[in-house]
Amino acid sequence: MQPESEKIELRIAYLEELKQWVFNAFEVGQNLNEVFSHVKADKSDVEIFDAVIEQLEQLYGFSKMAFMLVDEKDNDFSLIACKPNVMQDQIQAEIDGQIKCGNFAWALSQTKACVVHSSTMPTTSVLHVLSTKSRVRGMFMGVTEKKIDDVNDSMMSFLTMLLLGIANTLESRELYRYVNEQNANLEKLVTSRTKELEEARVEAENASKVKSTFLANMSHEIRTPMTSVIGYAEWLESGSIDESERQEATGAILRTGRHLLKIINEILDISKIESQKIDLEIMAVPLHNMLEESARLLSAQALAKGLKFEIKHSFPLPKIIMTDPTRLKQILLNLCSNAIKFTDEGEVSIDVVYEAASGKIKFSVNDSGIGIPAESIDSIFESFTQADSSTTRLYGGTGLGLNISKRLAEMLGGTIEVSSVLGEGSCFAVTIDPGESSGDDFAENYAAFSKTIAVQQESSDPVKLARLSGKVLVADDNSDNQRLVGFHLGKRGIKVVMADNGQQAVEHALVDDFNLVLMDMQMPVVDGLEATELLCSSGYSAPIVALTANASKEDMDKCLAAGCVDFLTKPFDKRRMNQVLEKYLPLAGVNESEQSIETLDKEFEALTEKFLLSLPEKKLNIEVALASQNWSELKSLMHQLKGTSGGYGFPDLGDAAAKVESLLKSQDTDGVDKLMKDFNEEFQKVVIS
Amino acid sequence: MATLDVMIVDDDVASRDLLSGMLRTQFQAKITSVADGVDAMRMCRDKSFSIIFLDIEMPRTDGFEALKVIKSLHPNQFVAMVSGHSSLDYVKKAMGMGANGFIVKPFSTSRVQAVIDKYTAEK
Repeated sequence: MQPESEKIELRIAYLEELKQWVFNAFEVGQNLNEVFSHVKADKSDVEIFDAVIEQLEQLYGFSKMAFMLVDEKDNDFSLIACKPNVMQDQIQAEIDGQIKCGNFAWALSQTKACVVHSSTMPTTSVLHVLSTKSRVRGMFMGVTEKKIDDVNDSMMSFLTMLLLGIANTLESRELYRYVNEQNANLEKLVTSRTKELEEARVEAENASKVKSTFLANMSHEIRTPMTSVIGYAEWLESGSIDESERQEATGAILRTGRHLLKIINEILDISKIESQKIDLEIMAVPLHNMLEESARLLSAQALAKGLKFEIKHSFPLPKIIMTDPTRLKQILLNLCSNAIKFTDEGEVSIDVVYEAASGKIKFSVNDSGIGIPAESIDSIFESFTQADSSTTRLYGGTGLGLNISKRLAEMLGGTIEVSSVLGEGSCFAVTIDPGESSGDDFAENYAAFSKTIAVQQESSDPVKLARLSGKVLVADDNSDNQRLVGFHLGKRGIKVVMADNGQQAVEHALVDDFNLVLMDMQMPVVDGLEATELLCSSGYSAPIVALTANASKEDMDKCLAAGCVDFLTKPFDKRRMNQVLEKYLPLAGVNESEQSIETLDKEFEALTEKFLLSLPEKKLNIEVALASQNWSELKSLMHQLKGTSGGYGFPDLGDAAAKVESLLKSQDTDGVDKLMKDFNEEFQKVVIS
Repeated sequence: MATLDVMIVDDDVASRDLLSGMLRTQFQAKITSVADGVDAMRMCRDKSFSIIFLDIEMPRTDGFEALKVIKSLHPNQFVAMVSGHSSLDYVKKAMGMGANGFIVKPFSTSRVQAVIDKYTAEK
């Protein structure tokens, strides 16, 4: 038995040692704290664990140490750091041994150090899980030369604290990395979004700039002619002008008015194309006719500038093409008008060729004009762009035509290409898809080409318009329009009755006899559409023609569905107006058989009466001629009666007169008395009736 | 064309005679004439006609009332209203009630022709 003093000695030594250890532990704690505070910096796991191992070695005197971490991919433990490095194999063998004997698993389930016999050597192994509240992150193993019983519990508790700290540090480091990564991603996302937004902003700004420029140009383009319209109109209103000045003013108003209308139509075209609202009306079109019609308009323009204009055909050409003739003509007229506008001498031509390879027709509009600078060629198809803004002042134009033409050409299955040599001329080549055409439809020469279709030649020249007869009801709430239409109709000899709204239109139409009704579609009280529907459902038989400012196909269809037979768009195209009038009204004085029954009924009565009243005088003339044997006079009188009697409903009198006339024609006067007796009998019948 | 079997409803003798004369001579129609809406409705109880020319302004039962009853008996009966007024309200009312034609006195043959054409087209 040890003496008491010796026990105390031992006890003191032990406490002394423990005190030393606690000091060391503080130091290690401090050092590790230092290590942990640096984990946010870019230190690798290995570096951290090496530092930890160093501290633990100092404190615990482990001869071998190892840190294993859970591999997130396969949930397996892999060795991340060990000491001494050269003994890695032995260390790994010890770990495997602990796994095999189940100590490893036991340690995983504990939150404290598991002190066990080493499996591969006569030492003691300390296994300690590396875990946080959320999950197991790894395992620590230390090998000490001490006996199991000599391993101090307090020291092991401190190990638990240290390792918990390490595990938490690892976790926060991971979170920190994750947050950093998210931040980086977010930053990247924000950057790319910002870039996208910026691009969108620039694009929107550009678009808005283009629109503003467009609007500015447009309002300028519209304001300029408006100024002269108003100016000249004010001048006219002042009244203190002579005839030539008046002509000048009205001429200018008409000219600028037409120009304005053109601008407005083109703007509408563009907006229709942009909103894809243009409906093509594809139909079979005789190519020769289409070209001739265009040429008629263009030759006059060219001639006015002293230019030659011609169409050059490269045969074979299809006789019939499938396209929208209105749009195709619009393209050709636009390109040719441009060509003429920019050419001061020489010629403008359209070269027409069928390109068998592509199956398309090419119309090349060539001119010998000023040409287009190379740097401007790409932009001439943009809205409101002319090669040089000064050209606008010099040559006028809206700058919309080419843009429209190109888009229309694309809608017709082709495109427009341009080539030009500055100062020598330009070539605008339009291709369109002419649809399917069979071999027989091709003309090999001009004779065959031009003979293909007999067409009605509608003259664009102002010809003397024949007088028409009949009565027309004009329903329009706008008194200016009323006067305009009234004037136009009056000029052609047509009687006109006005209605200010749909109600008046219906009431007039039902009471009075009209050959034709011109019905404005937008009117107060009852609009034209409703009035037309009412009239048609009431059995109204005179043709009703719609007047409308809305020239869309949808509106036209609505008018036709309501019962209109045709339509005129405002402002009125005089030629269309004349076409409509000529279609529905009879010519004055001739073709009376074509007159509608209404007119006949009334006019006929009046005319018949007039005819009957004139008969006694005619009879007297006839007696005189007969008595004086003035055969030629008698013949001419009989000729007149032959022509008119039948028309007034007295065919027998006409026949009798015809017989007398034909007898006198044959220079035979012998039978005159007999025939005159018959004639007189018929004459009496008529007079008595 | 099959013979038109027409009924004329008008309280005014002169109007009735004028229309029936026109229909007989120009359109070879078979005519039934009655002087008021009550008689017209009575006639329609037993049979329908090709066309009924129905005056609006009549004593006792006016044209609109007669039209309503006739249309309820024979929804497809072709009825042309005849009126001394061309008022839009009349036209709208008549058409709204299902009338098939509307002519205003005095009328020419062509108006009657138009109504008959419409009848033929719709038949």
